[in-house]
Amino acid sequence: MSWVRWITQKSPHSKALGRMIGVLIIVGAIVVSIIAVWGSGRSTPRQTTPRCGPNFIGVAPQVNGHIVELHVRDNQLVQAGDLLFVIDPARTKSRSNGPGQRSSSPSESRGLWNALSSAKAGVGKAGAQVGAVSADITRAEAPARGGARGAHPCGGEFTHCR
Amino acid sequence: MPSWAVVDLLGSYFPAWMLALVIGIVLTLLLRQLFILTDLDPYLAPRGLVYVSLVVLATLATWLFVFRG
Repeated sequence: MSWVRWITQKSPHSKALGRMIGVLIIVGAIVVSIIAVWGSGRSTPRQTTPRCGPNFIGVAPQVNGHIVELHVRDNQLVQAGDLLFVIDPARTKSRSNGPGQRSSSPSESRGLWNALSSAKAGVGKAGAQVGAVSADITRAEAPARGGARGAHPCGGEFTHCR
Repeated sequence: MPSWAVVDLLGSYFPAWMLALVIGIVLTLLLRQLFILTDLDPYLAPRGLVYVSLVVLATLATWLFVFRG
């Protein structure tokens, strides 16, 4: 590095050169800091609370049952009216044929019979309550009608009065 | 030069600012040796502020022109 020493020793303005380099370094650091802060905000915009969510669309069939055919894949783009899946047709047909032609399992039939017995028992109980309440109404209205006649101050006495 | 936020260094991933800081410190140490050899070091006043500014300058310059393209 003898050439470096030769350059500096030959320079009569080492002090002024050192001061100038120091000032340039400080000013350069300030300028580069401003550029870095200004550039980072422009090139990589950031947000403190970024949120991203999928667009959910609820799909509900008109009948329930097991899905026997699936005609779509995950994330597949579909259009309105496209066939997405097929629900077990046997169960759907049995519902649409009416209760007379309904085909159900033995356990389901047993449950329906139990429901029918419960409903009949409820009907009988309601009929008994109707009779009891009707009797109460009859008893409540009978004294009022009789009392109205007997309590009349002129009913018996003034008819036979002279 | 592509913009790197993460640098793959021997199989390990480092943030670019960290490597830029290391490079800035190394460059500052090299420049300080050069200033000492050229007898300019005593005239870099205030020395603490100058060398801290030199670290900032070298780090941000490396980050801007090397890792951000």
